[in-house]
Amino acid sequence: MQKQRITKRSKEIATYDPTKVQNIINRAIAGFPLNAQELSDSIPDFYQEAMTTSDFFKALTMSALNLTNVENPDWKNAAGRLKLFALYKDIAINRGLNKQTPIPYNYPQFLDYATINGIYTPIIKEKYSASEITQAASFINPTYDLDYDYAGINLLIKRYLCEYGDKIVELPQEMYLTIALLIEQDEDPAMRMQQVQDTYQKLAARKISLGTPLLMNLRRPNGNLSSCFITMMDDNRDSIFYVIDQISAISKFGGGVGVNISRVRCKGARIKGIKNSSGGVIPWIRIINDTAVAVNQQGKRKGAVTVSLDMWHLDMEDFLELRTENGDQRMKAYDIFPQVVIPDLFMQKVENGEDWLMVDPHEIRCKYQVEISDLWGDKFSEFYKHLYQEAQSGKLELYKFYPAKELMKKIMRSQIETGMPYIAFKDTLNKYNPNKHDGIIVGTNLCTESHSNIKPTVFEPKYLQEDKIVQETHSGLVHVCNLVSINLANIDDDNELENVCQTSVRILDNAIDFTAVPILEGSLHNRRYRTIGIGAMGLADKLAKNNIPYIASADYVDELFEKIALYNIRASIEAARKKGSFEAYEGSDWSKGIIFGRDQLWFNKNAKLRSEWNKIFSDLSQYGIRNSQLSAIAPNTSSSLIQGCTASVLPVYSKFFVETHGKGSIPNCPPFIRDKFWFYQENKNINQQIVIEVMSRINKWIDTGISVELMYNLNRNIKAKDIYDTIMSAWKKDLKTLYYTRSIQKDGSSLEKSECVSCAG
Amino acid sequence: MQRKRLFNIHGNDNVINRRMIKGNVTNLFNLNNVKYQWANKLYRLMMENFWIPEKVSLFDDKRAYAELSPHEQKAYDGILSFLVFLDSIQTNNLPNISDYITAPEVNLILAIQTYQEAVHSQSYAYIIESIIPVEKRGEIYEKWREDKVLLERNKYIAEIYQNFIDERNDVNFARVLIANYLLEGVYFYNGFNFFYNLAARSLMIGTADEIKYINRDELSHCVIFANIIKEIRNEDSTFFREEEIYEMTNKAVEQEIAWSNHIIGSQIIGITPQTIEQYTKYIANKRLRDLGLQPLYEGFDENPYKHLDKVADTNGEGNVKGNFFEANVSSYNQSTAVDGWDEI
Repeated sequence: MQKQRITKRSKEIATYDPTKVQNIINRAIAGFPLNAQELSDSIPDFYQEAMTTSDFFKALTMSALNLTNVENPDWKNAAGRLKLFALYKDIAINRGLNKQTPIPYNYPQFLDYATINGIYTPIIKEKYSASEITQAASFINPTYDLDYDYAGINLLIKRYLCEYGDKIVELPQEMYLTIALLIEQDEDPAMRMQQVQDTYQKLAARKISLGTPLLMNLRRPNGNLSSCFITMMDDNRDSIFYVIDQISAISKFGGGVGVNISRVRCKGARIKGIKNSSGGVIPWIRIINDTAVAVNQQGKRKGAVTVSLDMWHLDMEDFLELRTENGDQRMKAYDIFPQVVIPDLFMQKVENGEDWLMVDPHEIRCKYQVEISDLWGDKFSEFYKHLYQEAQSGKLELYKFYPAKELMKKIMRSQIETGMPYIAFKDTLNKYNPNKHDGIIVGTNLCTESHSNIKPTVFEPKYLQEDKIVQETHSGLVHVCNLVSINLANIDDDNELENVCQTSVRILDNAIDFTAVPILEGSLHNRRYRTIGIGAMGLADKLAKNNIPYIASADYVDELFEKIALYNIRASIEAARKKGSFEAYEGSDWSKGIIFGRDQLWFNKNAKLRSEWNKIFSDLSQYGIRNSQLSAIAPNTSSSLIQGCTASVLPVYSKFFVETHGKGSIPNCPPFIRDKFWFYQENKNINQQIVIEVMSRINKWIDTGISVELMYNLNRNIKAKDIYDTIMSAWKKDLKTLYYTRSIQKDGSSLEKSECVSCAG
Repeated sequence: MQRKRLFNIHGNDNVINRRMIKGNVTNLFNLNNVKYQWANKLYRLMMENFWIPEKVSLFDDKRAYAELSPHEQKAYDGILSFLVFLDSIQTNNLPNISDYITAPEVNLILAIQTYQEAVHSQSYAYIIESIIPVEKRGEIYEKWREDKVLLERNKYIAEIYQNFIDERNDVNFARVLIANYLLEGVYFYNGFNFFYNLAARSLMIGTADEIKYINRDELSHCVIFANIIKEIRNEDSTFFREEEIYEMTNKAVEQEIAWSNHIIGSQIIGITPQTIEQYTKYIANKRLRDLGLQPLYEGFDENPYKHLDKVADTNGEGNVKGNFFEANVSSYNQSTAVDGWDEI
């Protein structure tokens, strides 16, 4: 290199010192089988005369990242460390430390700073003594920082670490310790420091991954902690705009929203008895759409809302075209994630090639005094068959018969083009609902893995009392759920797995008690059901680590998730012994000795851990259970980046891929790729029927749901029938929902390639 | 050259007699009677690639734009100016070419290409309106008035196209086809890569998503013109002079390098004058090979932005995984890409 100068932070221009840079590169690659020379060779590609040290290291980090490939996957970790060192340096300067301090941790001092400046909630200092804080600080182990790859540390910095005055001021281990202190704040003082240490270690060692709201908001003043909400609209203006207000409140605090809209009358329905007055559900969905965009999640990401509609709703055809490009743009809502709620009867009619009847819920309510969206199972089937006859004999005003199979094709076409709608199998959802004594599940949340009973809030008329407007409202229920995921990639034995399950239950159950739910109907729901969602991630990595190909994993997975289910339930029963059961326990499936919709006899016949389950059943009858629902497997697309593992329980997306999200595009590969290359199987090459089979084995042990993503690789000659068969078998195997459909586009350039070969010369 | 008749009653639609230019067809579209099978495949592919710009949210880009460095903003604006020009002139000129193509199956895909270029113009308008502050919007459309480098570039392309309109002979038509191929195959790409470079650094993700769709279309256009040129060369080996192809390619490469240095400069992390030269010559070599010609630049066989190819994923390897709450999943096919809907 001829140019030899660099601009330091102090604006002072200094001579470029290759040994210094070499030392930093060596620290970044320590412990990895990488060749430092490869990275230093790239320096002339980006070096510019007198560039700033900060730009220099940014470019060096990007160079390291770009060296990542399946043979040398550790470059992404080296890049992560370079990024970390830059963070250390910024923070050292910010904290007034000598800038040579390599690792600028000082927890008690930072805690004071963060509390005084309102970065952290004041609760930590209120609940813990100074000596406890000093003890907690000793738990911090900075070497965990070195485990992050670039995608992980980058996401932590961009989204999770606390900022103050437009600068990142917090370090990763401080974040985890603070979260651990908050989680255990109300536990028995004699035990709690030990529990703080336990929780901290499981978070820091990346064995438990917190849902985004917990990781982002718990330590911030007034942050909401719940990941998912589901609410529903009644068929009147009060309710509709009230729910839109709820959506804005939830979005503001960073939650994803599900909203069921099936009670709302259809296009052309009567309003106040006048024919052809209503615009149907689409105009309301467009308002929801714009609300989600306007009230973004504290500027961190756009509000996200899934709207669900029952299959019998007369607006279904418009609904299925919500996100397609063709047609009237005023009937589109591109920021909404549509979801269809499908009863068994519809699926049977698809199979039998029969017609499906779509009706107006308002007309049905007026003529038959039945709220059709409240029905499921046999009650729904009976009533629907009656309506079928009524329509055929001309007794309904608004209805349409349409071949069920053609409707299913419309759903499939939309899935290929837009990835959606999601599918919720309503009868399966309710059959396995442990709280069916207390209500109905009308739809599912944004990621389709979490659901429970909800009902709309009801309004009395307003009246004036002196100068006040008074309106009484009867609180409905809004589904609320906190989520964590167990990172299977980092857990090796059953003891550890059970410990991790125990800590997970404690984290989530505690979180319920200090969650500031942005809407009151959610607090009511929390009290009533104490729903929590423990999920899993890194399954593909665990399988690869144990030399099990994904396509042959069903039995192994079945056993693994039986264990997780057992450990979770055991921990929640133990919690009930100490703190009591959820409010609606009496009459629930749990109180009747039914777990996952099955009785003890079934477990004795089918479970692997029979004696353990028998003990569970007897403990359950004695102590009850703390949480009415415990497990939910989320897609954890972004938290898996922090964890450095494969998202969720699906096969790996690709052995080498670029992850795009709101904050950028980053090359990535699964964690054990260097040593286990041949044991990773890519989803795009796996028959989706196999994925459905593995999901159904997991599903058996999950009390809410799984975000099941399907992937169709259009280059592999996928026929419509393949997609149809996959959906059918998902339904038959009792999957409760189907989440996003990805399709890998036809390879546009293959045309170019093949033409090139044949015409060359 | 003779412009083809709208409806040629003396035409013969037998595929044996069909020629890319100077043929004698009725100009009726009979897609069951096709000589150039690649055109049929491209037709399907291009229809499946249908997209509309508004589906990508540019909400976050507006904020991100304000955080770009002045150099990045200058490059962003300048590249948009050039892209606006490229797609405008393409929309206007493609029908002039189609008038002399005597293979109905190719006329059909040229019509789709024209329409896609129009969508690209709309997407620039959408990007500019959504992201660029109102007082700067006009500057982007008017930039060629002040920027001499840009004006020279635009004029050079326009003149080649104009010459054929003014004087419709074989030589000028050959030049139009080559110019078109180079425009679709070389001119766009340093600009595209700039946006991918930003996206790889977590900046202007929405714009990069728009560009991905445009890029995907442009790749198919590139295939169209490569095929047209190859077919004409098969049918009449003297229609193109190889030296002319090389001369024009060289000129295109020089201009592209000069322009990229001018508008991107050396102030963007990850792009230097060396990588610009490396990339431009690499892509030109690739385009020449696709025509069945020898590459022009020895030792330029490596793409310096290989990591950005993964970001763009225009060739459908399924290497880009989108978090679809936040980013657009780049796979974006019409459902006609799947067969067998009647077999269910």
